[in-house]
Amino acid sequence: MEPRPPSEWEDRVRELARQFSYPPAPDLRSRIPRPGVRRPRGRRWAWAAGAFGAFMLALGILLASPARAGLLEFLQIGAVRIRLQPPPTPSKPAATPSPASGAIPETRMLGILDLAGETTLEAAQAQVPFPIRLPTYPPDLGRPDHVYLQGMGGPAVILVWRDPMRPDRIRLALFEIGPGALIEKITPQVLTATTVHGRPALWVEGPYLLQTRSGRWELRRLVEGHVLLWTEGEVTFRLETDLGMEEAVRIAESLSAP
Amino acid sequence: MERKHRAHPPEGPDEALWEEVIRQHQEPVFRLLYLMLGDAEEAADTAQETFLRAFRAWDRRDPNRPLRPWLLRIAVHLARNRRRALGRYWRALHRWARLQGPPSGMRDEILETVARQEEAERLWRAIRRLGLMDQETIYLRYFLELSEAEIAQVQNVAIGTVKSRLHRALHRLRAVVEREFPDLIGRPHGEG
Repeated sequence: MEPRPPSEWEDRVRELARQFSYPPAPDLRSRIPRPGVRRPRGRRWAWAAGAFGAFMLALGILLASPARAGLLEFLQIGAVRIRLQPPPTPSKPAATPSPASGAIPETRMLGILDLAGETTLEAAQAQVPFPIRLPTYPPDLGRPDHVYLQGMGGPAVILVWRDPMRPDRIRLALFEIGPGALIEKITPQVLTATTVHGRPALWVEGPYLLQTRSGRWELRRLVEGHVLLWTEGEVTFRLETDLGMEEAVRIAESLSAP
Repeated sequence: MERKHRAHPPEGPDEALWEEVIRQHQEPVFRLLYLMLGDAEEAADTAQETFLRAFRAWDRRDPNRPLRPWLLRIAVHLARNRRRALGRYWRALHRWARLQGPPSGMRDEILETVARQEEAERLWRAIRRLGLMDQETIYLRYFLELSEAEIAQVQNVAIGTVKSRLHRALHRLRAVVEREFPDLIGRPHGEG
């Protein structure tokens, strides 16, 4: 009973859906008790309640161990995935952007001010489904000098403040990344567990390559500074700065709607 | 089908039948949950819970109706609740902590998915911008390839409602794709 002829778009959706690669389904027969045997309730919630402790403990162990790369390949906080091993085909970071060629996937090396999609705060707010928030600390920070709207597989806004004493330097860059996006860091030098408003956060020290996808492009950027990562609801925040961890956390905890 | 009669509910299916039910339906249940929850471990846990619920409710199902839509209906219900109950953040922690267990091919599979199936992956990202009902309807129709009648059973609505939901969901999906993933529209398949 299909009275409507399928549209071209519907066919395209079906075609793409058939290409979707699922993780292998686990064999649940070994995980589900036989009839008559009840699984204890609340086990999973108990596990979830312990996840934070496990996160902190395991991260400490992970960071202390020289064999950390052998333990796992990446960890993820919100939209940011941190690779703990180099990518299979490493490429050396270059200092200057390379021209586009149209190939897929093409890798570009960028500085943060090379990013496309510069816009205004108001225009960016009209485009993203979450409220853009600004730091109120340090008090002299003011509004960002540059605002970029990026599609990293999901909506993302990048706010950049230049150093007033040295305008060629970036004082602060704040990424606010909506649901659906995914960005990757590759083999950072130092990872530290911390908190923002009492919730787990990660402090990452560079230098490392930051890899993002934007439409047909794969973008890579060498990050020299440090980064604080945390999530609030569906939004992932990524604060890039030369400051220390405590100052970064203070900035993170000062975010509010403009 | 012959079942033993016991004094205490739930009676449920016998062991052999139950094994067969899981074997036949675990993959579509898992896949739907993976699409809805976006996390393989979360999907596996919820699939497990789906079958436990199904076992307990076995005697209340309509034996004249096909089993799969009934199972998927339980899965959808659980996924909706789980999405409300667990934030994205906890899922990320969950996934990360679990990855420290015994080596598993699943990690490689996830990475391969990101690299190899980029087009379908980006369609999935586009779908996840839609409302939950739109997402669910698209997953059931185009990813699990259920008929409209089967979707009507899963969602417990009239078939006309399913048609309307599909029409609206496709329309909204197209708007998202045109705006954010325009190269997904109409590209020939298989060029790698």
